[in-house]
Amino acid sequence: MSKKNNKSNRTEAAKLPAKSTSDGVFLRVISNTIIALILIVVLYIGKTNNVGYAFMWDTLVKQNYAMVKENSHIPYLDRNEQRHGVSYKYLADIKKQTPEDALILMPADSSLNKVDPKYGFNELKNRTKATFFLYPRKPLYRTDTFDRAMLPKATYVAIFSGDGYADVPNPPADRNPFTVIKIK
Amino acid sequence: MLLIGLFVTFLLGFSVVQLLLKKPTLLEILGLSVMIGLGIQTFVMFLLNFAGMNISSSSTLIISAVLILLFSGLYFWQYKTIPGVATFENFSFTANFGAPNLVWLICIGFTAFIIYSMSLKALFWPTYATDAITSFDIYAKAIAHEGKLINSLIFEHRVGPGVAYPPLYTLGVAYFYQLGFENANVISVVFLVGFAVSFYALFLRISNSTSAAFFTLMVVSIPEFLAQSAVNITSGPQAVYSSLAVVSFFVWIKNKENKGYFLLSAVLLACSGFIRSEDILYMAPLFLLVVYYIFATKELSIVDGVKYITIGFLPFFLWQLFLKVNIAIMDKYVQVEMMGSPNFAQWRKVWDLGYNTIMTTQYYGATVYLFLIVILASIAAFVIKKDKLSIWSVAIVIMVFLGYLVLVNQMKLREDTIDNIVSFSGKRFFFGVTILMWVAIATNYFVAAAFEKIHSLISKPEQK
Repeated sequence: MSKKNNKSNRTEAAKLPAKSTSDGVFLRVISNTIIALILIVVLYIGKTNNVGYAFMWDTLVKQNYAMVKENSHIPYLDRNEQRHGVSYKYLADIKKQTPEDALILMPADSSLNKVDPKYGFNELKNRTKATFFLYPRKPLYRTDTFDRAMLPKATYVAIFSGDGYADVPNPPADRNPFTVIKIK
Repeated sequence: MLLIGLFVTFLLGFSVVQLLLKKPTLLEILGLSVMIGLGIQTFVMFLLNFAGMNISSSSTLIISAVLILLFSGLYFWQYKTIPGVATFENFSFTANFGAPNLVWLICIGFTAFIIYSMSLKALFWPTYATDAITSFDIYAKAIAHEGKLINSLIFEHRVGPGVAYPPLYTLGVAYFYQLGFENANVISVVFLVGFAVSFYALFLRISNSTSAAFFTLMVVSIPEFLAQSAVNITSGPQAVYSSLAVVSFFVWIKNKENKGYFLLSAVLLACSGFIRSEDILYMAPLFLLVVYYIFATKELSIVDGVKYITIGFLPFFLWQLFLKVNIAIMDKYVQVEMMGSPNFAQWRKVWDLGYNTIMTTQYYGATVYLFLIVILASIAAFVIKKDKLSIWSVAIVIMVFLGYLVLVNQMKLREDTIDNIVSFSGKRFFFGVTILMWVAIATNYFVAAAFEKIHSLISKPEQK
C-alpha cells in the first residue's frame, strides 16, 4: 500500500511542475496578446486623434519611405536640383566649368529680374547659398560690400540669359546665353 | 577611407565606453561608441587648430589611433583583460538586449522601422535646411578644405551666425567631408541611430525591457524631433547628448556601485556643451545634483564632483575662450548678448511664446500633457514612497524649460527679434526637454511599478 502510495505521489510530483509550466506559458501567451492588443489600440488612437502623431507616421515615416524606395534610382546630383531648383543646375554647370580657385563675377540683379520669378533664379541673388554650391570657388557680387574690393580680381564671368558679355574683354562670336567665361 | 574613418571613430568611442563602464552591454557599445568617438575626435580637431595646427583627416586619424591605444592600455592596466572580452564573456541575449515579449517586439519593430525610414530620408536628400546651407554645412566644407576654423569664408563674411556655435557638429561634418563622404546628412543618421540604441540600452539599466522598448518608441515618435532629426542642424544632436547625459546620471543613481555611468554622463554633457552653448541649462541641474550627492548624501566625493564638472564644462569653456581670443574676427557672428540685470519688461511675452510652443501637440504629440499628470504623480511618489528619482526627473525638466525662458528673456539680439527666434527656433529648443519629459514619465515610481507588473506578466521568468 505504502509502496503504491509512494509511487502515486512521485507521479503526482512529477506531473505538477509540468502542469504549472504549461499553465504559466498559457497565461503568458494570453497576457501578451491582450496587452499587445491594448498597445496597438493606444498607438492607433494616438495616431488618429493627434495631428502631430498622424504627421509623424503618415508623412515622415510612411510617405518618406515610399518616396525613397520609388526614387532611389535618381542620381544624387539630380536630387539637389529637385530640392534647390534650376538655380542649382546653373551653379552646378558653373562649378563644372571652373577651377577650384575661380573668382566668379555673378549676374547682376537686373539680369535676374528679367526672368519670371517662377523659375526660381532669384535664389542666385543669395551670396551665401551660391557660395555653398560653388565652394571652394567664390562668387563675387557687384553690389556686395565684402566683394567690392575683390571685383577687379574676378577670373570668370557668369553669363545669364545673354547678359554679362559686357564684362568679357574679348567676347566670343558664338554667344551662349547661359555659361561661364574665363577672363583672366 | 570612408569605412576606415568611421571604424576608427567607433573604436575610439568603444575604448572610452569600455574604460568608463568596465563591462558595457553590446547595445551600449553599438549605440554610444560612434557618438562619443565623434565628440572626442572633434574636440581633438578643435584643440589642434586652437594650437595653430591644420585640421586634416590624417592628423585626426593618427591622434585617434594614439588615443585608442591609450584608453585600451588604461583598460588593460586597470582590469587585466582585453577591451571587449568582458562584454562577450558568458554572453546572454537577455542581459544584452532585454527579455523579449510581444509588446517588446511591437515597440522595437515600430522603432526600428521609424529609424530606418528617417535614415533613408536623411541619406536620400542632400543638404537643404537654411541653417545648414548658410552656416553649419558651408562652414564644414571650408574647414575640410582649408583645414582651419578661422578660414576665408569667415573673413569674407560668406557664412551665417552658426559659426559662433561650439563646433562639434561642424567639425563632425568636416571630418566626414575629409574622409570623402559626399552627403553631410550621414551625421544625422549617426545621431538618430545612436540615440535610439543608446536610449534603449541605458534605460534597460534602470527599468525592464518592456518599459525601455515602449519609452524608446515614445521618444523617437516625438513628431518635431523626428522631423528635424533627418536634417543636418545642431538641435537634434544637442538634445541627444544632453538627454542621454541625464539618463546616464539616473543609471548611476539607480546603481551607485558603478561610477562609470556617472562619468559617462559627464562625457555626454561635455559633448552636448560642445555643440550648442545653451547646454549650460542642462549642466546647471546636473551640477546641482552632483553637489547634492557630495554634501547631502555623501555618496560622491569632492574629487568625483570636480571630475564631473571639469569634464562636463571643459569643451564649452575652451570654445568660449576661443571666441574671446578671436573676438576681433568672430564678434560679428555672435548674435546674442546677455543682459546682466533681470528684464521683467518682456517676461510675459517670452512666457506666452514658450508656453504656446511647448503646448503645441503638433510638435510634441501627447508628451507635455502626460508629463503634467506625472508631475502630480511624482510629488505623490516623493511624499508617500520617498522616491527621489521621480522628483529629480520632473525637477530637471522644469528647470531646463524655465531656464530656456529666462535665457531668451535676457537675450539682447543684434539682428533679430525674440518673436522670430521663438517662432522659428522655439520648437527646436524643446527637443531635449520633451525627451526628458518621457524620461520623467518612465522613471516615475508608479509608472515604473505598473511596467514592472506588466513585464512580469508577459515575460519569461529569469532563470536563476
